[in-house]
Amino acid sequence: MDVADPLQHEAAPVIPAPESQLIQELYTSCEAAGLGWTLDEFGAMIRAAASRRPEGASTATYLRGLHIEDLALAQACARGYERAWDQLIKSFRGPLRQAAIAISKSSSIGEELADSVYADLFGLKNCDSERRSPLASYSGRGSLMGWLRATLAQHYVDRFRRTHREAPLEETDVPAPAGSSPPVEDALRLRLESTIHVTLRSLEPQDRFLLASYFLDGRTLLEIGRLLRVHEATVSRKLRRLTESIRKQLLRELQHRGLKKTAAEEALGVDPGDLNLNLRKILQTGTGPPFSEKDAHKRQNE
Amino acid sequence: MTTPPQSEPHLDADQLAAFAEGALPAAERALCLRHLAECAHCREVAFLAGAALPEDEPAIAPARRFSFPWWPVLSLGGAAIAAVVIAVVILHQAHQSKPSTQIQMAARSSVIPTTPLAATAPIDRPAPAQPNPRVLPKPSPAQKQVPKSQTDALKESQAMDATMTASAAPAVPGAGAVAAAPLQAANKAAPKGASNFSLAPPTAAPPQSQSPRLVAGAGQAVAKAAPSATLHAYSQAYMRSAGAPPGIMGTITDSSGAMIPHAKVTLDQASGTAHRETFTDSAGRFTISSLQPGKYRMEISAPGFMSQVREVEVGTTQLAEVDSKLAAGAVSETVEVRAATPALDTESASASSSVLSILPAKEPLKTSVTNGTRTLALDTAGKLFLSKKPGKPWKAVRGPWRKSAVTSLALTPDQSFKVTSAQGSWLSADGQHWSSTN
Repeated sequence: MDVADPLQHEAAPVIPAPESQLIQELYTSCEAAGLGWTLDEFGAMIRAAASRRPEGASTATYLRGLHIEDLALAQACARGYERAWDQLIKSFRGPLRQAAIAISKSSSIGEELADSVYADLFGLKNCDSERRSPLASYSGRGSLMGWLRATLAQHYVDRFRRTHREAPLEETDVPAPAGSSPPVEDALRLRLESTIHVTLRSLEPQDRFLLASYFLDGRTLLEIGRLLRVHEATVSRKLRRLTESIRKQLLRELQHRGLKKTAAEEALGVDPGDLNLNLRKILQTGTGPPFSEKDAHKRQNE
Repeated sequence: MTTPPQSEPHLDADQLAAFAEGALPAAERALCLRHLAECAHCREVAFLAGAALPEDEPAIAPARRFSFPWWPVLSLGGAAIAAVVIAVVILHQAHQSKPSTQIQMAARSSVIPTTPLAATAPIDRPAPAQPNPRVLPKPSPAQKQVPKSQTDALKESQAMDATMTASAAPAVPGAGAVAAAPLQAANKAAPKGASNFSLAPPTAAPPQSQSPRLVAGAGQAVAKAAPSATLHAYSQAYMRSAGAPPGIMGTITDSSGAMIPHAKVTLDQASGTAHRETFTDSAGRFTISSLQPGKYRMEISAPGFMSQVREVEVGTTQLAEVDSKLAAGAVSETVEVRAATPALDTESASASSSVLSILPAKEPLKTSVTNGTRTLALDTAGKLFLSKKPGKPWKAVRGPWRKSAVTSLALTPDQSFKVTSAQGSWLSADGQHWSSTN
């Protein structure tokens, strides 16, 4: 998922002539002339944006579904149009500052974060003697304010990384209390670890996202719901069903591997601290070699 | 904030913003979700960007809960309830309007019966509705209570009797030309707010007159019926109306004003050419219509009361209204011995044939004896019936004589019932438990 190269927009295939009327319509509707756009430049920009449409989608439908005003403003700013910058600052300075404060939870840090984002957006970095602004990557699918919030969040995370020392997850895990439960037989433990590994790896991406966000990141239902655009009750219900489904799947997998039902249920009651499992790694590992009991035995022998 | 090593580049701001706003196509959204599930860094950025959303910005869609389609169920349920309510209302109204419909149909009927109306009283009413046979050997205080109990029973059944009278109304000869007037007269007789066919018991059952009087020739079309007797008022009004054939109607009461049901009213023309009989209904009313003009000898008799004989003159088109009050009388005054019914037992002075032929077997009465409140009746078929107390219906007595016919019924000096059949004789004090005299 590479960041879109603004240079590719210029080489986009030309929209057929009958759609020039659509360009004229969009040009008028978003008042592109007031931002400094000429019709030809605007047409080229629109054609570049249309090149990102998914396969099979109608060009007109795709273009009409874009935030065309935000797109015209962002691309005009990326091209250095003064009137567009004035408009951007006039429209987004206040919201951007508030978003920065909300992200950093500090007004001073938020102010600083917003200023740094402004400077970055203006394109201080030169590349081949040409100013390049991150605004050129804005495609218009989401709102410009959403794009700005995401950019603020990225800057904040990068800033946090630069100023804080990273702590690996494994060291922060709480060790299991010794002697709290009878030791688990190695064979059963290996069988259980393997089953959990296979089960979690077979989950759908959205399910793994839910598990990782809720159990690993400690996100609230409200946060997850806002990101997925569903109600928090829906997230709660999905999580409950997901955990129940995982438990049933684990039982089935354990029985499939030779355990009786009662033994499988007892195995699921094992203290997680007795298992040599890195759930974060399992959940966050997308594609990799499937876990096998042979490998587990090999690791144990080592 | 830890970040595990990632093998793929992170999502850019454009993708994150489009993902958060739901603007990505399904395939790209799935890729983003997959990356977010695996990349803690991008999750962190995505959640931070989401946290920057202002509170008033509607970024989330409403919860898509599983919604049971209640509306179709509620609408169907409501429709079913509405249908049931409508059906109940219609049935209720139809039930209420049925008697009036019958009356209207009777009033509009132009069919005049060829045979004269013998009686409007429900003679063929089943036994439970009949009054208790009263045989009064001696005038005593206990016997004076008989009319009172009878009156109570009447008060309880007057509402139903009104409906019964309504069903008898079609028997009244009528013509369509007089249909409206009787109904109006009946409505006049009814009090305000009272339903013409109300099932509520009447508030009072006053005697129609304090003394026997003849109102022959009274042509006023104003009914004097009690509030619950609107139908009777209707029939009276009809019979008083112009064009109705001459007849006699009236009310029989006792000395206390209580109406006497099933009193026998016999009408004999002075010339001896016509003989009519009828019985008063449960409200003590009787009607004899389609009479020839002339003088009649009217005899009113009721069990336990002194008979009364009157002369009534019936005009050509007018109605003779006769209200009579009967006095309680001695048994000797009320005994009516039928010529075809010989008294088999002459030992008891209480033998009487005043018990009407209303036994369940529908056979003529042979004899009856009374022991206190219990009365035994023997019909001509040899079957025995018991009434435990006045007002109670008859019940067949199945004694030790089994299916053999009872030939005689008598009351011994010690007030025990004595039954004789071909198989022997039996005695009983209560009419139910029998002991052989053999």
